Amino acid sequence: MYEHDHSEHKAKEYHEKGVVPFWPEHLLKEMVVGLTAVAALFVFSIFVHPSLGHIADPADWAYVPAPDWYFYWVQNFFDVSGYYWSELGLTKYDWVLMFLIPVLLILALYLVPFYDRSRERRLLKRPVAFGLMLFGLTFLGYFTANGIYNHDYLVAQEPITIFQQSCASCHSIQGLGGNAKGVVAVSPGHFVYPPDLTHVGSILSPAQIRQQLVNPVGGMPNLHLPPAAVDYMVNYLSSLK
Amino acid sequence: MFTRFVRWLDERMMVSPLWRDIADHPVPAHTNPSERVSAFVYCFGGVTFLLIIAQFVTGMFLAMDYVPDITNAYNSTRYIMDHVLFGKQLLSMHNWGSTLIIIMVTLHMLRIYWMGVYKKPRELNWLVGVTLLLIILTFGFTGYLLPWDEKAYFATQVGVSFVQYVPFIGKALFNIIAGGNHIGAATLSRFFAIHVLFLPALLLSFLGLHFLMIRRNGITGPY
Ligand code: HEC
Ligand code: HEM
Repeated sequence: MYEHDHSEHKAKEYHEKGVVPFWPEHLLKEMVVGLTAVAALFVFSIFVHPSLGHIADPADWAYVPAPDWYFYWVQNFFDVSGYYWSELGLTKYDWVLMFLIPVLLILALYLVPFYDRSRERRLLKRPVAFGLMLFGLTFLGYFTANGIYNHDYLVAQEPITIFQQSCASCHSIQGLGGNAKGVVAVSPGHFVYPPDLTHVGSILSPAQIRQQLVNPVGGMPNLHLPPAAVDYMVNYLSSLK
Repeated sequence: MFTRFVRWLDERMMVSPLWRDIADHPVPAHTNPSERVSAFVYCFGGVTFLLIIAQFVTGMFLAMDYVPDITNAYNSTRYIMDHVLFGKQLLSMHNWGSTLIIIMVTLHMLRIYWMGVYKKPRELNWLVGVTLLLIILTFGFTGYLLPWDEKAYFATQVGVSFVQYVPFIGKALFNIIAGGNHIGAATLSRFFAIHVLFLPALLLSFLGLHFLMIRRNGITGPY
């Protein structure tokens, strides 16, 4: 009896103050939102799986490093600023760019409550804080986008470089490179001509191209390309229709 | 039945007062999404916490089959994907879960920022919060190496090379983190230990502080 009165009294008091008890009124409803997120994660994970590449090979010179998506901005920021830094001849002071500046940025984030001390909380009435937030978001967005773009560019560039270095002495693509004299294959005076690869994508399947690179036949030497280089070459060559 | 069980427990360890304290503490109604839909912004922290719990669970199951050495890390990951019951689903949830946590933590932090929540008396909780953010990012960085494929290896090589620029102790620091002068077997077992032992302990401690301070200060009211 007392218990009942007590909780009724409390409910009234809470209502007047505009508050609710943590359990179940608050947490239960918040858990509905949270469990929806976990359920969405569960369903999404049934359909979309992360991929596993080749086993790590420290000797693979062709691989273009890629961070997880939320670190692209870090890598790209230091790529871009590092470029200008060395253009300015500041390589002696690399530690300023690579150590001091990151530490100061992290410190600046930590100290936000200590330099924004006014009692005002509305964002539009805190122009400096608002400006910093917009600047920060633009900064993250720009360097993330630029980092992804730059990574894709390097991946697209890699097979072209490899081709010029390892294949152009024999093959040609659109008239560039190639060896008209052919390579000696079987007996003296018998020549095999390395085929023009301009349209190799419509002649061979990706699997056949891979086979020729890993296990070449017909007088082509095995170039012992590392796995990433083979992947990039197969993608590139099979796009040459 | 339940009441009798609670009485039995109370006679031995007095749980009721603890539970009443937690359950009855008042939370402003304006933070509840069923009162006002726009209050969903108050849920980002809680959602992050729930996702962290999901991450603990999937991670524990993954650790049952994962082997942290340079030949078996890759092979056991393959094995989890191809042969373990629901292994692919687990790995997938753990992987996408990390992405979702990063998104949610960012949104949570943005709310704290744009609502000016970090102001007096909540400055200390902002410090704890930024530390939580760094812990979460370190989780992501160390976890990325564990499958030991090329993506993992070269990203870690780039990432760890940053510490070489720390003045004076850069080289030593690199050796400590990588366990040698290059990314190799020692790096993998170190990152594994950091990912599954050090960081969870740190994360739970700081979450404890975070929640304690939220309880002390209460959720910030409307402007
Ligand atoms: C020493 C010269 C030589 C070099 C270097 C060389 N190849 Fe070849 N390649 C050949 C010859 C000769 C053939 C033709 C084999 C045959 O007729 O079966 C060939 C065949 C191929 C084919 C099959 C084409 C077709 O239409 O059947 C592909 C694809 C190919 N090479 C790709 C490459 C790539 C990529 C590189 C560089 C990484 C490369 N080759 C380097 C000599 C070379
Ligand atoms: C591991 C990640 C984190 C978790 C699980 C977490 C969890 C929570 C939860 C559940 C709340 C209650 C209110 C709400 O959900 O908005 C909260 C409040 C708060 N969080 Fe976090 N948080 C995390 C990271 C952060 C970060 C990165 C910051 C800021 C740098 C931060 C600063 C705060 C502050 C200041 C409050 C008080 C809110 C108020 O008084 O209204 N937290 N956190």
